[in-house]
Amino acid sequence: MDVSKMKHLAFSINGFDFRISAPVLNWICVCIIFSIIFIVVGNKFKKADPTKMPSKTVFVFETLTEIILNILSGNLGKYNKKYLPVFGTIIIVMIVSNLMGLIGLQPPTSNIGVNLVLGLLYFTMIQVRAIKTNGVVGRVKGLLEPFSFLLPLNLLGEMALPISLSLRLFGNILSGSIIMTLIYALMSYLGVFGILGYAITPFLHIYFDIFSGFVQGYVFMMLGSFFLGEQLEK
Amino acid sequence: MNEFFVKGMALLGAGIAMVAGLGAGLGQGFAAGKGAEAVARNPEAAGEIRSTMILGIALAETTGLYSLVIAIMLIFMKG
Repeated sequence: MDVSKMKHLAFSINGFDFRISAPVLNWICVCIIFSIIFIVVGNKFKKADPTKMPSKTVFVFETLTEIILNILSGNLGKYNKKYLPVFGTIIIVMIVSNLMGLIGLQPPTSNIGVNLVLGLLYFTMIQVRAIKTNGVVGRVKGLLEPFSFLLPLNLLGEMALPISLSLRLFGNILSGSIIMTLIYALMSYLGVFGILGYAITPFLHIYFDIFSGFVQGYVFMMLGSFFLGEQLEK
Repeated sequence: MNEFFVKGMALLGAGIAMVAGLGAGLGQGFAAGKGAEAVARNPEAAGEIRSTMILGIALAETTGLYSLVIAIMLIFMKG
């Protein structure tokens, strides 16, 4: 069974037919593996002694946390420790799942459902934070801000944010995987001369998978923290 | 209105939709040019300028990606 070409997993329970597509299965595996990693590393952090030299895993994750806290403090001010779990998890999991195109598995973000769920997560987080800061009445007043007849435009702008975030991620990763699939199909069509194609595929992988994956993960986190910072107290 | 007509028109529409790549390319090139100019003017701030430029470039690509998503939907659903 060739795992990289599997389209979906189909099974039925009591007559109900389920069909889970391959990117969603990869997403579930990534989530389970990272849950285990984060729980293990968290235990090591709790048992670590601040006065002694840190061990290897504690040191790596400590440096990573410092970097992410620095990036977030530009947008969130003093709330960066509170929102560190959300944004740190999103950037680490997203970078790893975008890099899965290197191995030959379909990246989880190439399915539209995964991206829309992440966009919905941001939408809920921003709205709840806005209501907590201003109260419900203040929030509605904030929507009527410059002129009250601009209310539909303001509402549309609020809805446009998660849609544009998720579609940007979806389009980048999906188009990268489609172009790589087409190039590999061309190489197999050419028969013997297709071996020469292996001279250029590493560079395409570097651009589409590594560069695009890192940049899109960074942009996703930065935009989310920026729009969240707009809703915090000044 | 047979199915060949619909198929042909869908593929033609997918091709026309990709004209939006023009705007994405122009916008990104403009941003990169301004970024290079800023680094030339102030070489010490190169790291910050690079981060801001990459963020701006990834944002300017968004509308080109919207048209790509529409073209892919047309090709795979109606073509």
